[in-house]
Amino acid sequence: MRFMRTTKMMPAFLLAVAGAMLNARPVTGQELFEWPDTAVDISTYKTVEECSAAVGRVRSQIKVREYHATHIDRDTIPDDLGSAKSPLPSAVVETVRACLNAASAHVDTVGVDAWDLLAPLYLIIGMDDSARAVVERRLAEVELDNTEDLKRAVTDVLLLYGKNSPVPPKIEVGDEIILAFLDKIPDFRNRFAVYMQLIVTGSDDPAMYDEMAARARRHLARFMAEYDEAAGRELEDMSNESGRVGATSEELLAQLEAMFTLVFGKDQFHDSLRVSTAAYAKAMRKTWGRASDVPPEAYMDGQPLGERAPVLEGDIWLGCEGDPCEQYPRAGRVSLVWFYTPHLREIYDNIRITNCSDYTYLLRRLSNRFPELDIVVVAQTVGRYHYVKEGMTPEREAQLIRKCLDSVGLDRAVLTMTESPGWRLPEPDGRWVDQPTANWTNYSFDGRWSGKFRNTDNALLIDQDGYIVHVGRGTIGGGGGLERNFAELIEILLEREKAKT
Amino acid sequence: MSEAARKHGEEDSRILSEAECKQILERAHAMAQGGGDTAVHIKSWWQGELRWARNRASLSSDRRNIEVTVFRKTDYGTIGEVTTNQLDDAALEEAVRAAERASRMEIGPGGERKGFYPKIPAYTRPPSARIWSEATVGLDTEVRAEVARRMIAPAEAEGFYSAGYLEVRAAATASYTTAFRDLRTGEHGLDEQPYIQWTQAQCSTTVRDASGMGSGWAGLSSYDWDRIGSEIDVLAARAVQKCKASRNPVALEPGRYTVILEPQAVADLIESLVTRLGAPGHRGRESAENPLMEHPFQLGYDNATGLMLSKMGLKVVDERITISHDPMDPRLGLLMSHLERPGPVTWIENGVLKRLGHNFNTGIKALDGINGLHQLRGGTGYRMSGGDTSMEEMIRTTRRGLLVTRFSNIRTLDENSLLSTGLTRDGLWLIENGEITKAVKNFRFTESPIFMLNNVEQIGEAVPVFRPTKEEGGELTPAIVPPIKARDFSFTSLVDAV
Repeated sequence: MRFMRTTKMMPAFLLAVAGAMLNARPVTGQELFEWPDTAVDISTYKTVEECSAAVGRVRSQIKVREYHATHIDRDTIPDDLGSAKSPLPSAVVETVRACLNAASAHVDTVGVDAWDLLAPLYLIIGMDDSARAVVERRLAEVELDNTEDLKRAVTDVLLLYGKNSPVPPKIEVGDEIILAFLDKIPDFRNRFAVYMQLIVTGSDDPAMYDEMAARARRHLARFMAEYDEAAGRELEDMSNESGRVGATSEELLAQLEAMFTLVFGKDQFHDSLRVSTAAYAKAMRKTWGRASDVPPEAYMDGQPLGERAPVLEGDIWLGCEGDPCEQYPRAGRVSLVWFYTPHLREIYDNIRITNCSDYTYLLRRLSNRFPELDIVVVAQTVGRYHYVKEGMTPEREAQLIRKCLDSVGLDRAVLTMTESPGWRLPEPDGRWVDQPTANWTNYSFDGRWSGKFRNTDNALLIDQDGYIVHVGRGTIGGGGGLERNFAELIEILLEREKAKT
Repeated sequence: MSEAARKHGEEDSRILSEAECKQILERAHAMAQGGGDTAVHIKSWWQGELRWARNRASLSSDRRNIEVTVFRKTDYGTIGEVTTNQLDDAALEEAVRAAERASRMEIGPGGERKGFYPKIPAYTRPPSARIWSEATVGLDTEVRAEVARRMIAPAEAEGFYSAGYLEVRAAATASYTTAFRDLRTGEHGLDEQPYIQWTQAQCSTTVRDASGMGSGWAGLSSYDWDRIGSEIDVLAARAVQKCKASRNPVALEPGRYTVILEPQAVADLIESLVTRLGAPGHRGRESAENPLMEHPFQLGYDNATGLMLSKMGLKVVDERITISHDPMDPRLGLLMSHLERPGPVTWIENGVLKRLGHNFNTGIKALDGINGLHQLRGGTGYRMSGGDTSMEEMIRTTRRGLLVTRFSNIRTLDENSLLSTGLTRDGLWLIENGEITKAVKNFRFTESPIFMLNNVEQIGEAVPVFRPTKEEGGELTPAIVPPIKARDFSFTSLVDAV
């Protein structure tokens, strides 16, 4: 960041004189203008890190210009998973070219620690051979009997040429490099670990789904050929994905096949869902259990897939139908239940607290696309809304959150507010200690699912019969993949209901 | 006070007025391009100083500066900041442009004010004592020179060498922003620091004898020069007297001694403890209740609640110790913002830790019954409770001990216990059977202020001590501290420092 700090001191009277002389331009109001090009002098950059930083700045500057031109806030629209296929702006390519020319970074001399910075830069300017050489140098450093290091390195390479590629992905190149590297790994279990990464690490682009599925099938076939050689052998000191000791090669194959199905077999799961939620849940749990080598009951740390969704409780209901409100989730309706958490977020002045989460935009898009979808926001009191604390009551807090939901277009969502149970530490500490709400308790399913409701967003998709079809955890706004998953499942549930009638 | 001083009105031309500060924001925002918000943080200060050594003035200056930091937050959500000290249109506009360029270097969170934002409550600045002194701003060069003469004369008369420093300062700060103006219901937004001005003065002297082995020190600071000016002769005489008394020091064996700490020594030693009472962003409650951090007031992890507990509510020092601040206390003089918790605060009461400072967000979680959102600044300025034991009585009732003038070069060795090390300086004397018997060579101590405050035997009357601001235009940090007699104070080695 440039600073304009000057130590030059001007006596007071000179200040006044200078001010009068220099005050020739009339001061006007704000006006839009064309941002000047502020690219730094790349010729002064000498290291790979500086070049990588320069690329980042140029890319962000392009985003800023785009925003000022279009005023489209990309935070509120889904990720464009196909955007990775577009060629990079010429400004980015030229920045990298100029920087790498100035810097003394060379494929043979740069430290292997900087491989993940240098390789993408080479890809950006089309020096694919140099990028490959850097990658192969990295792989040469891998401890072949260290499964974790191996998995990490393989995943990084596949991501470099796939999902995280700075240029249109060349997944086949990544595969080629890893398959060549595979020849150096004698241990069957480590080869299994590499195959697992080859299957699960590809591209999120929906347009490439079939291509990725075919690719994964090829890798699976390769592994099966190897398996045939090792068939029946009990592998010593075996620790597989779940850390279990003593797996056989058959078990590893079954695990790999299950993982393939989990990643690329969504059609068969969707077919199950078209039959019933119970069939879908059974298929998902069984396949996941095989892929992760844990019991089906432990699906995703106890996520309640296929369980009956408890009736939601609340002290205050806003936006519901009926007086008193009907029971939610409503029978005969597809529901998306969102356990809303206020987020303490430090914006530049460190005092902003946002109750109105960014994640509401995902829900709004789903709400617009599926008018028949019930969205229920499950909230609990925290005693303030943003910076408003004085005179706060549960009713007022609910009304303010209601205004927040309406302001982002979720006016059809139903809000249920519960007064937070808890207790306060004695003075002078005075901190609040949460106790679980009735909804927390009920949706933990006798403790089988932790939920972490207070600090984590959770969104549950519930079918018309009240069974849980899908759980989105953590940042439910994160990634277009999650929104797409919800949308596909909602569509199937609605079609299923139509087919019944 | 000189004639020049009498001419100074409420708004001293050497620092910016409130109207001028507000105008800077409006000018900067009018120059802004590309939308978004503009904020300015303004600090203007004047300082007059005089330094002397070996009985002659060595430096005399009048300095002033204005620092305006311009923040530009663009619609993309990124922020750039640039600081300038020139306020003409061209310089200000260049700063605004530079801040806008800097804002584009960042990758921002994208957008602002998504969703509904309620009206901002009308926070008002809590009442505080006025900390502006005409006597301080009026202390011009001639008067300062006369002060130095009065400080030097007694030392010179004894054939000693006097060195010292005199400084007077006036400063003003303000922060304004255009952000969220449509949501304001009061005069100030949450991101603003209303205009505030203050004065600060300090005077200290060290007197050495010709051999360089005897040394005496005295000093005082206050926002009001009159409180120092009336003590000038006393300070000079004290420094000379201590110099005389500290000549020909003898070396003692390091070890644990009963000590009588003069108020300055107490203030020097407990500085680390006072700062751990916390200030926004600095080692207060957020650190004490963070299991990943070390803090002297951290109690331990409570499995039942899943929280790290602090020692609030527990006795941490002697029950005769109370440390507090009151913004209305005219002798303390603290600067209050509109987001400060209003009213007096007692940090330690009768030895029990009552409060720790916290920032804005912690105040929300704690919901400590104060309306509105606020931060609680830590012990920036403080008053420590005193007793009624005179220094003479402390000395008279000491069978064997040391009288300490002050400490210097203090470093904290351990964060949990505040175990610290430092040196005694400018006068250390042995007390035997109720009398001061000889000057002693300086020691290095290794001791904790918390341990010392738990080994208190006697406490004297609290008086203002020398505690100047640490940076140009910095905040006031006044302290009123008593002398303390404590047992088992650990001295670990002799030092050659005088």
